[in-house]
Amino acid sequence: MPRVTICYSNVRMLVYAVLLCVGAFLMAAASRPGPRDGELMLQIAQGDQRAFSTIYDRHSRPVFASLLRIVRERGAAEDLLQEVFLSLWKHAARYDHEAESVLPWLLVIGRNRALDKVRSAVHRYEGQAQPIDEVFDLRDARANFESGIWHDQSVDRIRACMAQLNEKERRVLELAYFEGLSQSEISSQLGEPMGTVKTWTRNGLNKLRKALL
Amino acid sequence: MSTHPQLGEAYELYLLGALDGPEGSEGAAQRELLRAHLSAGCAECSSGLKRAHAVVAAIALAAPEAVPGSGVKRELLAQLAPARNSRFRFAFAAAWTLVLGLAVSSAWLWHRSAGLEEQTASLETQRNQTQVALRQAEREAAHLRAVTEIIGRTDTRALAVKSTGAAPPFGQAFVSRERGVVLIAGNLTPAGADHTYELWILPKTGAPVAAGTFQTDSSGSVVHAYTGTITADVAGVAVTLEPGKGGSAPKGPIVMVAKFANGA
Repeated sequence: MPRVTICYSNVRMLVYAVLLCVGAFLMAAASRPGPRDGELMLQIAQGDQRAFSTIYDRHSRPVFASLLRIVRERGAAEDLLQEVFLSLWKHAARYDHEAESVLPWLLVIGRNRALDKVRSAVHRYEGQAQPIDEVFDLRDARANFESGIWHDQSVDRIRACMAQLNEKERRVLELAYFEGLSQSEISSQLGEPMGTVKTWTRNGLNKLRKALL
Repeated sequence: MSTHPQLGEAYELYLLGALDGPEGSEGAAQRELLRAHLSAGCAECSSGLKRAHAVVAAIALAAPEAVPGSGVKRELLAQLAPARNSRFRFAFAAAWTLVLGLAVSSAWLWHRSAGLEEQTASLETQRNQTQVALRQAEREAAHLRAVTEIIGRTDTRALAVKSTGAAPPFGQAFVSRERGVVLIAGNLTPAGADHTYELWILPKTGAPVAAGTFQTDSSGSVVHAYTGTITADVAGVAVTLEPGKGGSAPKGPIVMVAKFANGA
């Protein structure tokens, strides 16, 4: 009758190997990218609240930060955040499901609503030549974004692009974006000549364009 | 070949709403130029605007990081559920209404169908009965027509038919060589189920010619017509009581007979 010998060192090696495989599997699962925004939007269009929750968790922070920067009041920013995501829920079927990221769309919708709210409160922009909604057609959710850029570059990477701008360049762009000011208004606010404001704006946009595109 | 104007950062400024200036200024001119190109479907401007969108949206990320309250998501999801449930409830109610409506309609149609089937069966029975009555009427009309034609002819000769038995049946025969014979008789004893009366034409020479069988009514009366051309000289007519359904030659007893004095 053959004799079976159990070698404990071999068993220990086997246990280590199994643990190694399990660890590798868990790491792979954790690092695996979630579904694309376009896929999630397709599920949201079919009424999938879980997909909606995923999109919210993925993008609510930068959208909220942008809203808060514009309206400067936490409660109002949270109300606007809900409006923006409700708009996404309602118009998900109209979204371009081939697009990689829905974040630019959310940011633009949020900016428009926030600026409208601020403007309606202070009536500062009556008679302005170019209403914001004219340039961002919110009713058409097929946003004209090169959103692939946004997918390839993480939010941190895009923030790093902004960090390449000098203080003056970033200031004029922020005043235009978050305050909705025209170049002449920026010139008045900063007390700088119009030509200087235009130069800072042009330089800032050129740097951003080179870094992003 | 025309070249497209260099608009540079005008795309981003246009999206930011920052492309301003009084009439005649560079900003106003670029704004109007861009609007005109976009309205005309300019592909280069459309592409430039797409790139500008990505750049402009990036400025939003310059905002200091901030986290919305945990209640925001909870309230947001709560706002989704009623809308979805309301839509679901509406769809559910609509579906049930539809099913109920279909069920009621089906029951009504089934009931109506059953009623129509009964009516159809009743009408079918009436039609069959009418057809039977019509055929009977047609037979009687043909019979009467034959009787009238025979009796009404100028060449028809009447012949009193006398009984040959104890019971005294009586009758009258009308003989037309071109049309046939009509026998009107009464007081005949009913032939019964296994016998029948048969009329015979008696030629001057030769065997009797069968001229049709008949049954009497309950009072013993009959009007029997035999239609057909009679080729031989007729000496008379006779009625026999034949077994079964009768035949081409007389076998039974003569019940009535009549003869012309000088042939027909």
